[in-house]
Amino acid sequence: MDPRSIADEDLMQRLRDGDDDAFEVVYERHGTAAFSLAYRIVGTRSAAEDVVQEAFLSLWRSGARYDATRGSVRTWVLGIVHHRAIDNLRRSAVHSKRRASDEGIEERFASKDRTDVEVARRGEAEQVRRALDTLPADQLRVVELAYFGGFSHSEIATMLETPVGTIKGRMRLGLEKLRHQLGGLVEVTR
Amino acid sequence: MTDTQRPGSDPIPHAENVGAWVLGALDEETAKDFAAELERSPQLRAQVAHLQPVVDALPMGAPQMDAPSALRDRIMATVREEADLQRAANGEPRRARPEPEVTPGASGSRSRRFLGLRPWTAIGFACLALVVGIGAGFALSTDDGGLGGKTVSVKIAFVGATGKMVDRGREGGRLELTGIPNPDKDHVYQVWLIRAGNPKPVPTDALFTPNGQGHSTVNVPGDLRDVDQVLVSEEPAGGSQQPTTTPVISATI
Repeated sequence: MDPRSIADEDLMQRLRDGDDDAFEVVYERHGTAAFSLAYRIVGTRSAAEDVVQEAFLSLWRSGARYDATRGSVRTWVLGIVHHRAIDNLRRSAVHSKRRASDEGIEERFASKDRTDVEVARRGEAEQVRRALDTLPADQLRVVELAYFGGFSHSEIATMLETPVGTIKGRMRLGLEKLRHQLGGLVEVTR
Repeated sequence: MTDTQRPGSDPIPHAENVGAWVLGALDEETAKDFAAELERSPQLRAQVAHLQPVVDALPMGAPQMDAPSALRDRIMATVREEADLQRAANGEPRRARPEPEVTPGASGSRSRRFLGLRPWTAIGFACLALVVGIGAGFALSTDDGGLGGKTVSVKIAFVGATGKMVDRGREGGRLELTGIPNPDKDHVYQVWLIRAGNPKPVPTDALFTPNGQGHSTVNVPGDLRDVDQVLVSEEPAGGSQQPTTTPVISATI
């Protein structure tokens, strides 16, 4: 059976058995989101490539650790990418410099034909960004600094010269609001 | 009422930390306390379950960019290589595949670092950890410690590691490795031989761990004249009869 016609969760079973064709399909489906997330976090193309390469090779070598009861394959893949990207960021000397480069990241899709899956992903991405745009600036800031910047709540409190309790409150309120804005999307992504 | 407390109910301990927890932003100490409370409190688990999907969706908030095709080529080359090695370990034949397309300019800045075994065809272009005798497969070496063997190329799956192997034919061989990480606790590296006409790796009693600087010089035992490949994999202390993990080092003779 063509692995492209197989659901992610079933591909993971094949991947556990060392099926490199199954792995390739997993990469095709999630490579773009993985690279985008890595780039958003580490801020340079070469570091993002390192992160994605390490993350997917780790996934290939430890596919047996995927547990379908704990979420989708995409959530798992992007969780690995996020973890490695934050690690990379913390090791990197450009941590502070990177934040200034966040502005003006251009969304780029090559002119090749898009599959339905990619179109759906793009729509999803737009929906998440629209939801983020609805957050009050102070809530958006702390959510982004924590998730994409890898800063702890106390680091953010120091950075923004704001009490720790306020930072925690903004995080929670921001996430609650995002949940409301995203509606069914967050159910689907589980 | 706060968002951590419902009317008529007691406040849930640590509820104020739920947002920071799901974002992975709690300090280590607080995170430890939170995790302990999470074990105890179904209410807290419910709050985490309520917000976790939001964080799971956050990656899509990053501007979407195409991953470079050269990145995919590199990853797939490593994966194909390791899959073939694993099949060899299981006694299965390699799969026939067309050579991957070479993306113009693909080496670029990425040629500086690689993780994982590289495709045979790419070795000549990549700064893979070692490599002596590129292109010719192997070459006579002057750096063989006076042993008179041939130095053959070695591929290593660890970033920054280097190595070489001296093949002395019927006298066996010697692997010289640097930058090798320690294996997991209670594990060692084990050397395997793949003999001509038999893809199943033959175990050797060459077991080793690198010294504190990541160096290892390992004698490869046996007659290597009919050996196609020397592999190294991480195995439980004492060694295994067949590889239990993907080989991380390979030398093709």
